[in-house]
Amino acid sequence: MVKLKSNDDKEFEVEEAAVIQSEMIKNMIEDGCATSVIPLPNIDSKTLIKVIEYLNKHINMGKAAETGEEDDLKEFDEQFVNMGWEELFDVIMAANYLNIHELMELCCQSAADRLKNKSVRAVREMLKITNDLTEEEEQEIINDAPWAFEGPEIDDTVN
Amino acid sequence: MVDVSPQSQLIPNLPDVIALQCLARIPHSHHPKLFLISKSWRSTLNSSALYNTQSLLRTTETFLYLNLCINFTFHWYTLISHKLFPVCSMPVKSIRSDFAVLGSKIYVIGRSISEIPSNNMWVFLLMRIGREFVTTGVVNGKIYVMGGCVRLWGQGLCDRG
Repeated sequence: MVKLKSNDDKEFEVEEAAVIQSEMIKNMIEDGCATSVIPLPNIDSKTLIKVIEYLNKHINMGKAAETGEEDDLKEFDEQFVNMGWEELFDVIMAANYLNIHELMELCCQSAADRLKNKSVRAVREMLKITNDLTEEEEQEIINDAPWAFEGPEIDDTVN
Repeated sequence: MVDVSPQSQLIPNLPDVIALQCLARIPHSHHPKLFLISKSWRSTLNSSALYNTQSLLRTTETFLYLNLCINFTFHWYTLISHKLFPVCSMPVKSIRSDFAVLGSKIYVIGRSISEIPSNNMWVFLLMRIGREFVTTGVVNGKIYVMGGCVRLWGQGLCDRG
C-alpha cells in the first residue's frame, strides 16, 4: 500500500497497483523516492478522494476487455465526470500534476463536450469570463462564418 | 485595472496550457461560435498553439476547400455538413496563384499584387523571385515551388525564400 497526503493534511492508503497509474508516483516509486507518506501539496482531500475513486475503479483496466467489464467502466466514467465546473477543473489540475493520462483525457473531453453546444452567454456565465470584444468584432466573426450561427437551438442552460 | 494572470487568460483560475487541452477537443465546426466568448478565445482557437496541441492529441480534422471560378471570378467554399459555404476570410483575391496546404495553413504562392496581407488561415508566401502560374507540391513538410512566369504581369516580390 502507498500513503498519499493531501494539502489539508489528510492521509489516504491506496494499493500500489492503483496508484502507479500516476506516472509521477510510478516514477517516484521506481526511483526509490517514495517515502512512507507521499505529500501532494497541490491537491486537497476532496479532489484526492475523487482521483483515488477513479484509480481504484481503473485498477484492472487492462483486463476489462477480457472480462467484458468495458461497459461497466464506461458507465462509471460517465457518472464520474458528472460534477460541477469547479470540481472538474480541480480534478483536471490534479490529473495533470499526477500525470494520469486517461483521467486527463476523460475530464478534458467532458469539458469540451459540455462547452461545444452551449450558447455564448451560457459559456461566459459558467466559466466567469468577461466579454472584451467590441460590437464590430462580434459582427465580423458572425459575417466570416454565418453557417456556424444557423441550425438548431443551442443550449442556453448554465450547468 | 484588473490584474489578469498571463497564464489564465482563457478561463479564470485555470492555466491556459490546461484550458488549451480542453479547447483542442472541441470540433472545428463549433469554433466560430466560441470566437465570440472573448478576444483570447478567438485568438487561441485560431492559433498554431491550438493546432500543435491537437496534433499531439490526434484531434486534428481534415476539411475540403474548393476554389471555384464563377463568371471569371474565383470564389472559395468549404464543405460543412454536406453543404457548401463561402469562405469570407481570404483577405485579397488571388489571381494566377497556386496553393499548398501545410498543417493548419493554406499557402498562396505566386501572384500579382504588391500588398501581402495575412490572417489566420491564409499565408501569402513571398519568393525571392516573384512569379505567377507556378506549380507547388508538399513533400515531408516542405513546400516546393516549380516553374512559373517571372515578371510578365507580376510585381517583383521581396525575398524570403
